[in-house]
Amino acid sequence: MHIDFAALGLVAGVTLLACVALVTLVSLGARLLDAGANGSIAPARRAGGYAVLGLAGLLILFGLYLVIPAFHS
Amino acid sequence: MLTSSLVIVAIVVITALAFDFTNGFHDSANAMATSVATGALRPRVAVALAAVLNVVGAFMSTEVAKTISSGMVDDSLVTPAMVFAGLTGAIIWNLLTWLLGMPSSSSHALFGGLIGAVLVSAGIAGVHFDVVVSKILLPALAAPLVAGVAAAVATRLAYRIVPDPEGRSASVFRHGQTISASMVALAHGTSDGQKTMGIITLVLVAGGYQLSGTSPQFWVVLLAGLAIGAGTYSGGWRIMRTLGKGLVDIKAPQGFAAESATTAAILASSHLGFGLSTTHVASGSIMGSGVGRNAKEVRWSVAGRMALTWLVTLPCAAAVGAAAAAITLLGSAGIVITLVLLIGTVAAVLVAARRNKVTADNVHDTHEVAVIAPASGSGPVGGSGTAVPTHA
Repeated sequence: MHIDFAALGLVAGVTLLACVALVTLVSLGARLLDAGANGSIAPARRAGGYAVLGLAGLLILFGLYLVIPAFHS
Repeated sequence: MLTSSLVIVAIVVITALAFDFTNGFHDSANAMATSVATGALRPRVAVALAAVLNVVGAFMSTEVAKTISSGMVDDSLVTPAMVFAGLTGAIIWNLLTWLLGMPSSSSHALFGGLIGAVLVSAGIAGVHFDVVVSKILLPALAAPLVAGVAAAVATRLAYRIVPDPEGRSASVFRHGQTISASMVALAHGTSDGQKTMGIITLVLVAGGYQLSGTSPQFWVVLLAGLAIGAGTYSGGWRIMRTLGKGLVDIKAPQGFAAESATTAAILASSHLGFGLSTTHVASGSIMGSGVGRNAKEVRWSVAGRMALTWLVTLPCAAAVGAAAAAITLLGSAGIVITLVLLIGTVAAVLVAARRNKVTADNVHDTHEVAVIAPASGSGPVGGSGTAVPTHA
């Protein structure tokens, strides 16, 4: 019986990395965009928040590329 | 002879579409349970979105499957009657688990049904048990672990970075969750929609109605896509309740972490050569997101029942498939008898489900799916009118 433990390990590793990367980026974005006690956000902080959310968006686009067969078959 | 074969092919096609429908409503929750639970999406919007994405996904991927069973049985021995018996086992198992509100893998049910049918009709040599272990048993153990660990780590990180999400940050998590849940629905359409198309096409080829090696016909793609989409839209609210509320009371960051882990695991497994079932991945992620926040919040009794369901899915579907195959050995009359029994079972399950309905309106009023209406006080039953899901 052939069990491809290397492929299983790879899937586990990639899943962990991709998931942690995405959640970290979005959490950072969420935190940066959270308003302070007075309800306002510094422009630089806001820009930083949107920047990390943009990176998360790129990850999602890569996922979409993987899902749609027309892009890679 | 020709007419009887046409009738059998037609019956198999219709049964395959019925299976596709149950596949849709069984797996609707995999993508949308957490989004509904956290209030990121209203229940009906969530299933409509998932349904549309499932249909789109089904149309995107029409690469015809080369084997019915991915090598689990000797496909050269499989006849349309055996496929029919296998589908019967899968449909009945999908409906019974739905009645109990238990997620279970539609692919495992299908393979189980086929294995049972082949065992009866062609003997033990027709089943490749080593493939069953390496493609079914091992992934069933690995999937929830892989996705669960990722979701647990990600949940812990999310709460480390945003300890008390509210207002803006909670809304960012909810949007993220909607996006990753949509990816799950789309990926589901590309894989599971295509499974039914493959079965129908192979049966058409076997019956001599289509040339071997040709793509699925347009009506097959259309009907299979619509069947899984309609099944998804119908919602499978009983399973939705278990996954969204029964296992863990999910909050927005957990929902997002769980959906991210599910998406990552499905994409990684479909592109790196180790197939994992969407159902096992999604349930594992949700459990992991509970562990990542507070392991005490996970309802381990529900998790245990779920694990038990997964273990018995293949043998149970196989038993029903085997029984159906034994009846179909009688010939045309056997097929008719099986069909009548199948319809009767479906009707009985639907009647049983009516006694304690779970709908879009009451899906998250309570966390239990009771088959018999619960004793007074343990939760509202049907039409309570409050559709507002709990917010994070």
